[in-house]
Amino acid sequence: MSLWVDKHRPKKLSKMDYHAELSDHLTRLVSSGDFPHLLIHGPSGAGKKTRVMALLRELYGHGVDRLRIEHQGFETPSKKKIEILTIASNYHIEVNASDVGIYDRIVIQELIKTMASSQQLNSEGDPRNHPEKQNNPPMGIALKIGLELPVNASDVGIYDRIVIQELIKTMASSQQLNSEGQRDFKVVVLTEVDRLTKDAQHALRRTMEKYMATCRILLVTNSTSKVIPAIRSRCLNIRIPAPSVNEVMRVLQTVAKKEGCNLPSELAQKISEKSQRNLRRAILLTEACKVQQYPFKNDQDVMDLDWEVFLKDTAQQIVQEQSPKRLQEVRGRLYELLTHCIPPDVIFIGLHKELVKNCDGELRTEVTHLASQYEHRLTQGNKSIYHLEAFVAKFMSIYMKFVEETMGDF
Amino acid sequence: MDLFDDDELLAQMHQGNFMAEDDMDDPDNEEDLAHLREMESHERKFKRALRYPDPGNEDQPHEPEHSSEVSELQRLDSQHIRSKRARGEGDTSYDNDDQGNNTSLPLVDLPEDFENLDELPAAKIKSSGPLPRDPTQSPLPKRQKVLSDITNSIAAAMAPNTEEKLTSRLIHKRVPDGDFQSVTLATGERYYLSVTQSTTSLVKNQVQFGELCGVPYADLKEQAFMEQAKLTPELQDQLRLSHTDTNDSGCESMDEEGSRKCLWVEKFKPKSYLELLSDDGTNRILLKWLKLWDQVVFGKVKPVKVRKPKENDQNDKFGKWKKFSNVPEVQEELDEHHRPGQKVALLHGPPGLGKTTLAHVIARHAGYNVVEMNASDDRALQTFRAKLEAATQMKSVSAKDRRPNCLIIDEIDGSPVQTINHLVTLICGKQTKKGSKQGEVLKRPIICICNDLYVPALRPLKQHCLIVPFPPTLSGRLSQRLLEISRKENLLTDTTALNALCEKTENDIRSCLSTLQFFKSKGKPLRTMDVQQANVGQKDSQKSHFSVWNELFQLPRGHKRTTKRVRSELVQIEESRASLPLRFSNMFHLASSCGDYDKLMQGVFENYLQVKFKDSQLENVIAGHEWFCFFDLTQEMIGHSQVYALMGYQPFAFVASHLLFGSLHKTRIMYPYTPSEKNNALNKTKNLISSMISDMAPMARAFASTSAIVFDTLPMLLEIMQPVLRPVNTQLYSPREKQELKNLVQTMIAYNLQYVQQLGADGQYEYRLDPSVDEVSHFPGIPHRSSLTYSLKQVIAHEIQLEKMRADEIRGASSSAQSTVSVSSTASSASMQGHNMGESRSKNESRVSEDQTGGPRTSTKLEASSSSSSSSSSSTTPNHLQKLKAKEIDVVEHNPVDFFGRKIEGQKADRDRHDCYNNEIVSSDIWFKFKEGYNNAVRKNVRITDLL
Repeated sequence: MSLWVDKHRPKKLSKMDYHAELSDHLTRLVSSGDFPHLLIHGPSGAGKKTRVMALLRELYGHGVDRLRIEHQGFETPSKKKIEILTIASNYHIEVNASDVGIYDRIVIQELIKTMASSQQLNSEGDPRNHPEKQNNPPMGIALKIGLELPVNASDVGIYDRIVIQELIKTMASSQQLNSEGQRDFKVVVLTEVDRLTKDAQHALRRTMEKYMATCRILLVTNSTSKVIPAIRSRCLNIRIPAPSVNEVMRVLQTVAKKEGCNLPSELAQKISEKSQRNLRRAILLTEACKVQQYPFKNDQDVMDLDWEVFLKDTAQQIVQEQSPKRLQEVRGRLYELLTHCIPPDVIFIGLHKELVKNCDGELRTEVTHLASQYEHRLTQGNKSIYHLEAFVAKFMSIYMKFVEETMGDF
Repeated sequence: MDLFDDDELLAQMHQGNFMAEDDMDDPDNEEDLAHLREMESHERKFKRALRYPDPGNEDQPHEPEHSSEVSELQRLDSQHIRSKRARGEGDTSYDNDDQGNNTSLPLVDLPEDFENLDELPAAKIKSSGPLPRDPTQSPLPKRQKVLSDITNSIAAAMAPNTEEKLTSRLIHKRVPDGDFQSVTLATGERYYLSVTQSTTSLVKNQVQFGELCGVPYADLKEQAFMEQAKLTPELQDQLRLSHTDTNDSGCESMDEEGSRKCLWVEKFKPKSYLELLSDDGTNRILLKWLKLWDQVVFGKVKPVKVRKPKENDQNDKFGKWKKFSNVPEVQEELDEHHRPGQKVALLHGPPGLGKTTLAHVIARHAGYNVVEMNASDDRALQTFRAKLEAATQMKSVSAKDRRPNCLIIDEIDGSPVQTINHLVTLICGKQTKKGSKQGEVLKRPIICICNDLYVPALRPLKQHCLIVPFPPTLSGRLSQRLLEISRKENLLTDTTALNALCEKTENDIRSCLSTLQFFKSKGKPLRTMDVQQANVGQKDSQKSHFSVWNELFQLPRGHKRTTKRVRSELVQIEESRASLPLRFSNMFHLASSCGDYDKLMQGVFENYLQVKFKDSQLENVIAGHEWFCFFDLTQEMIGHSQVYALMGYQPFAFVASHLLFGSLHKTRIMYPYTPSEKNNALNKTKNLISSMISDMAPMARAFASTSAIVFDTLPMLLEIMQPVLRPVNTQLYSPREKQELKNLVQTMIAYNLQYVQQLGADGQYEYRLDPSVDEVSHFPGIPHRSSLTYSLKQVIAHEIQLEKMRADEIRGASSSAQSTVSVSSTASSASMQGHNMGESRSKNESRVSEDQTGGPRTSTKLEASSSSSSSSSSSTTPNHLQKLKAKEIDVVEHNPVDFFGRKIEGQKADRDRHDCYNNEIVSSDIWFKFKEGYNNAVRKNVRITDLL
C-alpha cells in the first residue's frame, strides 16, 4: 500500500477532505437506519469509491476492510472455462460485470450455489476479527469459504444481468441467518454501471425492489446518462463532484506533509490544474514528480500521460492535413488507442477537445454537434472505428471548407 | 498459344499418343494434328475466297439433314423448296458431317471440315448422281469413302460423256485461270478445280436468297420459324423417328435412347485433347507440367531443348507483361528424383467449366490411368493415406491396363485439414532422412481440383503447387459447340438463343447442356425469349469476398446485352455496363450472393482509402462513412435484438460504396486482417491488465478499476517505479534510499508487479516487468522514458522476492502457530503454510503455542486472522465443504541423536535461527541422505536444517 494514493486514502467519512456536507449527509443516512439504494455518480477521481468504502465502514465497522480477491472459475455448458474476479468482505460484495464477457450467467449461478450450500454452517466468527460482532457475523459463510465479493457487474459483459440478479438474490436470501446483526441487510456494490448493458439494467430494477428487505445496492458510475431512468428513480442519487482546484491543492499539501516533503504551492497549483481536478491523478502526479526530482521546484515539469499526448498528436495530425491518406494514418492511430484499452468515448472527448481549439465561432458548435452525434451513434453501434473515422472524415471536410473560406477572404 | 511452339506441342502429343494408343480411337488423329495448323489457315483462306458462310455463324435454326425431311418440308412451301434444293446440294456435305460425327465430335474436327470444303467441288459433280444418298449404304470409313468419291467423280468427269462437257470446265489438269482448288488423288495425280464458275452454285442459300427472292434473309428465317412452330408435335415425332430410322450407326440410336437416361453433360463430354473447350493456354500448361513427369514415370529422358534460350529471350522480353498476368509458370527444372519442381497441379475455377474433364482428358492423353478421388469418397486421414499410397505407389496387376496411375483429387477444398497436411508431407518428401528408401518418394503426378483457392485448409498445399487458374470458356466456342450438340440432338434452336444462354449461365458448360437437355425433353424449340425467361443460370453461387471487392472498387467497362420487359414485351437492350441502374443491380446481387456482409464491410472499410476515386472535398468519404455507420447500426440491431428484417438493407451499403468509391484504376485489395489483429492486440492488453489486477493486494484492488488503471494509475506508476538509486550495494544505501527501495518494493508487490529475467532479442539478459504492463501504457512515437539499469532492476527483483518470502514466512509462522503443530519439535518446525494437522485441540492450547512462537503476527493481522479463522473452524467443517489439502505428512517426533546415539542438545536455541532460514527450500519436507566419507562406512540421516 505504498502508493500515496492508497496510503493516504481517508477511511472514515468524518476524515474526508472535501464535500464535508455530503459526508455529513451520508453519516446521518447510516445512523438513521433507513438506508436506501444509492446511485453514486461523479467524474473519475472525485472520490466515489473512497466514499463508498467509508460508507460501508460506517455501516459495518472494520470488518469491511478485510477484503479478499477471489478468482472464481466456472465452466459453461459448452465446456468453456471462465473466471471472474470479485472483491468481497463479510458484508458486501463487489463485481465488475464487464470482465467475463458473455458467460457471467454461469459464473453467478455457480457462485450462488456455493454460497447457498455453505450458508447454514456458519455459527461463529473468528474471535479476533471483531469482538463485538463475533456472535453473529452477517455473512459468515463468506468467511468460511473465503467469499467476500465486491461486484462490478460490467465485468461480465452482456451476461451482467444474470450476475446481478443472482448475486442480489443470494445476498438477500442469506440474510435470514443474521438475527441480531447491526444491519439486517448486506450491500452489493456494482461498479461501472454505465458499462452495463441495457438488458442487465432492466433486470436490475425488479430485483432491486424484490430484495429490498435484505439487500442494498450501491451503484457506482461516472455518468448517469447511461443508466436507465427506472434505476435512477429507484435510487438515492448522490453526486460526488470533482474537487475544486483549491481543494485538490489542499489535499496535495496534506499528503506531502504526511510524507514529510515540502510541496511548493505553485507546483501544487500546476499539478492540480494539470490533473483536471482528478484527485487520484493529482496525487499520482505529485508522487511521480517527487520521484523525478526532489526537493520540489516551483517550475518543475509535470509529466504528461502518454495516451493523452498520443491523442493530442492525433488531433494535431487531423488539423494539419485533410486527405484520404492522412485519414488512413489517423485510422492507424485510432486503432492504436483502442488497442490500448482507451474506450472510444474517451477518444471522442479528447479529440473533440483538441479539435475545437482550432476552430472558432460557428464551427465550434458545428464540430461539437457532430462529435455528439457520432458519439451517440457509437453507443448504438458496435464497431467503434467506423464511427470514429466517420467523425474524423467529417471534421476534415468541414475544416477544409472553413480554411478555404477564410483564405478566400484574404 | 504463345507459350510454346507447335512443334513442341506436337512432339508432346506424339509422345502421348505413343503411350496411349488405345485411347486415341481415331488412328487419323496424328495425321490430323500434323495438318491441323496448316489446314486451319488454308481453310480460312478458302472461305475468304469463296465468301463461304462460316458454318459456325450460320444462323440456320433448322438444317434438314435427310431427304425425307426435305420432302416433308417441300410440301409446305414452294418457295422453301427452292431454298431446300439449294441446300440439298449442300446436303451431301452435311451428310458427311454426320458420318464424321460417328467417330468424333464436331467443332474441333477441323480436318473434317476441311475435307468437306475440299470436297465441295466434287460434291457438285456428285450431285448429278443420286442426290438423296443414303448414308447407310456407305459403311466405309468416311475418309476412304470421300476419297473414293472424289476419285470416282473425277474419273467420271474425265470420261467422255455428256456430263463431262458440263464438268470439264470445272476440272483442269493444268492451273486454270482465276481461283482454283487443287485436288490430289490417291494415285498422286493432281487436278485443279476452278472455283469462280461454281461460286454461284456453291454459295449457300443465304446468298441465293438475296439474289433469288429479294427477301431479306432475316425475314425468311422468321418464316422458317413460323413454319417450324406450325409443325405439329406428331410431325416432330415422325421426324425423330425417321431420323432414328435413317441413322445408320447403331450407337447413334443407342444414344438417342440413352439420352433419356444419360445426361448430355456425360454424353458430350470431350473425349480427346482436341475436343476440349477450355482455354488452350490452360490446357497446355497442364499438359506441359504432366509431361515433365515423363522422365520419372516412363523413364524417358526428355530431349534436350534447342529452343530453350529463345524461350528465355521471350520471357525476358515479356517479363514485364508476365509479371502482371496470372499465367502460372511451370518450373522446368527437375529435382534429384527427376521429378518436376512442382509436384502437384492445382486447378481452380468456378464450377461447370470442365476442370475435372480437363484433368481426366489430359491425364489420359499423357498416357496415365486416371484414379479419381472426390468428395464422395471417404477422406478421413486413414482412408486417404491408404488410397494415396495405392494410387501413387502401386500398379495395376491386370494385364490389360499397364499404364501408370495419375491421381486426380477432385473438390479438394472440402477435405479435412489433416488430409491435406498429409498430402503436403508426402509431396515434400520429408522422408529424406530415410532417403535410401526410394519407394517413399512420390513418383506419380497428382492433380488437385478445387473451386475456392482461398480455403484455409489449402494454404500449406499451395506453396508446393502449380496453381492453374481456370478461365471461363469463351462464349463463342461454347455456343458453337452447343449448336452442334443441339443439331445432333435435333433440338431446334439458334445461335442467338445459345449465345444468350451462354451469357446467362456465365459460360457454365454444365448448366448450358442441362438447359438444352431440359428443353429437348420438353420437346420445345429453344428461343432467345425462352432463355431470357427461363430460370437458368441464376445460380445461387457464393461469390468469394475478393470477387465482390474487386467488382466494388472497379468501375465496369463494356456493354452487356440484357432483355428488359418494356410494356409487357421483351426487348433486347444493348446497355452499357457502366450505366447506373445496371451497376446498381449488379452490385446488389453480387453483395447478396456473397452474404458475409460483416466481412465484406470490413474489407471495404480497409481498402477504400487506397482506391483512387475522385474526391476533392472528401464528400464521398463522408457519404461512405454514413453508410458504414448505418451498416454498423443495422448489424448491431441484428446481432443484439435479432431484427433480421434489417438484413435486407445491408447490401445497399455495398451498392453505395461501389457508387462512391468505384474507380477505373485497378486496386490491389488487401484482405481485412486489421480488425482481427487489433482485436488480438486489445485482448492482449486486457489480459495484461487482468493478470496484473488478479493478484493485486485487495486494498489496492478495491480502488483500482480497469479504467482508472489504464488512464491514471499505470502511466504514473511506471514513472514512480523508477526512483533515483545509486548503483551500489544495498548495504551502502542511505536510510532515505533504503526507505525508497522499500517503498518501491511494497508498491510493486501491492500492484502485483515484478522484474523477471529474460533473454532479450540481442542475446543479452534483461529484466522485464512482469506482467509487462509497460506495453499497455506505451504508445508508438512517444519516446520511452529512461529505464532503470540492469543492476538496479536486479536489486529490486531480489528485494521483491525477499519481501515476498518474508511475507510467506510470516504467514507460515502464524499459520503454524494456529494449527498447533508442536513447534517444540525442531525438525518438524518446518511447517508449511496452511499445514493443518486436523487435530482438534482446545483453544487454550493453541493460544499457548501461539505465545510460544510469539511470531510477528500482529503485523500481518489481516492474513493471519483470515487463515486462522479458516483453520480454527476447520474442525466443524462438514465433508462437502472441506477444501482439498495437501496430504498431511506425518511428522514423527524426532529426537535427533548423533552418531553415537547421544541426544543433540541446543535445539531450542536453534529455533530462532531456523526461523531465519525458514525459506521455502528449508521448510519443505524434502530431505537428503548425506553419505559421509567415501566408503559408505558411516551412514547417518542428516537434514538440511541440521546443516544450516
